[in-house]
Amino acid sequence: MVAPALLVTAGLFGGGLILTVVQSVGVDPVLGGQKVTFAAYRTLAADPAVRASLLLTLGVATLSTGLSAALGTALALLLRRAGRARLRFLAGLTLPVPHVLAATLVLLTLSQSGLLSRVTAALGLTRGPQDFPALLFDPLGVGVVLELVWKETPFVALLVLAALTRLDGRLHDVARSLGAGRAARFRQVTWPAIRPALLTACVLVFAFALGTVEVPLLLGATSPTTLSVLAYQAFTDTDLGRRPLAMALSTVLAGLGALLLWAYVRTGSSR
Amino acid sequence: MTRLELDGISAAHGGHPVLRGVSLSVGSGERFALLGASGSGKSTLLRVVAGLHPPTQGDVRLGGRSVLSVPPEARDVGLVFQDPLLFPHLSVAGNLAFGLRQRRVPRAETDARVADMLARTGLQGLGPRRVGALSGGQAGRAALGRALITRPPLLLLDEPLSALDAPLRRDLREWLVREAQERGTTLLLVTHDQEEALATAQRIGFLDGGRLAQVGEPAELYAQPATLNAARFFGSLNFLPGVQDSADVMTALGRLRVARPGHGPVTVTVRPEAIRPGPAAVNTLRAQVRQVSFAGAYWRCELTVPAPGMGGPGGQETALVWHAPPDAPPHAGDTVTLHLPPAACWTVPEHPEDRPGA
Repeated sequence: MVAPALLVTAGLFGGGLILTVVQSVGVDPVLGGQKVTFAAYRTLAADPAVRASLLLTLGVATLSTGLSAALGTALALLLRRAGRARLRFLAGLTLPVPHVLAATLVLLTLSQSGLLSRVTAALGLTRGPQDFPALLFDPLGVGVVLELVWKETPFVALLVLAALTRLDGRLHDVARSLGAGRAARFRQVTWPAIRPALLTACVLVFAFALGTVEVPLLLGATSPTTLSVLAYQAFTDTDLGRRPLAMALSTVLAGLGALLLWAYVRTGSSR
Repeated sequence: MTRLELDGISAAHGGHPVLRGVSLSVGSGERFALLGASGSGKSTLLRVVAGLHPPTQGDVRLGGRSVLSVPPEARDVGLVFQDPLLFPHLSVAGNLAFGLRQRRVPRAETDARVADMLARTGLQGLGPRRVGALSGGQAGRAALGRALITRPPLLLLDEPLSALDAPLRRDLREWLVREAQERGTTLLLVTHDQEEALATAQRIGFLDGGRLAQVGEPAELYAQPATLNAARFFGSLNFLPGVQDSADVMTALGRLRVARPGHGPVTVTVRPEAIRPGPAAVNTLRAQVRQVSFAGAYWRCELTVPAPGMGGPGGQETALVWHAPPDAPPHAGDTVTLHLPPAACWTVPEHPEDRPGA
């Protein structure tokens, strides 16, 4: 029954993936490439900017995933306790906001000439834009991480909250009657219940952070920038000779994603 | 093995009073059942004792000491709900060991006690199993074992195991009573199921609208209910309002000799199985059998007694229910002569449960 739909999906996705890999090894009839060559990969491996970019990409993804996970879990626990539908609605409000828009909002708020900078200057806390810390376009990707955390925390919270809602509250009562204090109850009742949902949320956030182009493009430094931005730049370059480079970068990103997926499935099956 | 005392406990749910001044004393090693319809406040009372619900008034004492300021995890009071509520991420053995782990019992002793409890609950060999793989009866036993393994002096049971089939429930109940006796555990059981209460408890309390209407031995609550609701709850079906003058009550049936003397407006309640065939010196009546149905241990007969049933200034027709002995059932349409033994004619004051503080 689902075979036709699956065929289309697999065709588009798998076909694209195969084309990416094929073009990354220099085979492109349109551009005249006939022989398999790993020149693009060698170029990447030799380029220190790519290595810095890889580190930045992994760092940004790890940090934003970790922060979103911690804050999202805390938010979910808070919402579970408050139990107000209106609060839950407010918490989920950032979910439908597109990342481009969110990044623009962050830009308007946190840039050195942004809203916050003006407020601190008006309050006399800073003397002007030059005094305000460079949170955006910085080589450490603080702005990118902030935007991702702002967007993804409610997403994590939503998944964790769903798991918390499925947890029978009387399990806590039983645990208490058996002598479990607050910390022990979190460790032994709450945590096992939310762990799978949190793991799923983390994988999704990490995968998005790995692949996002618009956020680092708007909020990140020009150099180093993330792998996805490098790939985008190489792909849109007027020099078509850089096309294999873009495809090689994309293949590396896809490889990282696959690695993540493999780790996720492995932890899933060992549970 | 501890004495539980409740002293004027009141509690509320979202501003609604649920318990109103409940005082109760359960002896060390005693098995006590609180009966009541749903919404009577029984589960809340249990949660108050466990420390999971703060009372608005009153005191809870365990072994003579007030425990109101002691959090549930430090009260050492076992708690078993209607559902087994096993921890889903732990194995059967992990569930049994849960309480011991919180108490930092050494590993070797924990293992030994878990093995012992697995054997006692008939779950040998199932220790490493996931709890999802257990049958309903096995899960119920695991839940009881998990509560008993820490040897709590007081075990609270909230409609335990009522999700199980009758035979399974009976086995488990017998097992629980044996274990409790062996360990001297004080049991406080909350249920709406009379059979469960009778089979488990030595004394029974009837909770009605948040008040403890009556406490006593089971036979007492059956034969001498303190309130109309108690009489109804414990299966009386005949209620005859009237005015009492010494040993007699004037009812729609006529003059009725009752169990205890008194004065003023009362309701006479007679259990259907207490009505006897044949005439007697007092309380004899002739009734018409309207309907007969077989109920296993007896025949349920719906009777009407024409006015005045026993002579004197009676009112209109009176309906009665009689559980006739199984050997010689009457037929619909028969006219039968019956008598109500005075000892079985129990008087209940007019609506005492409506009086505040009753």
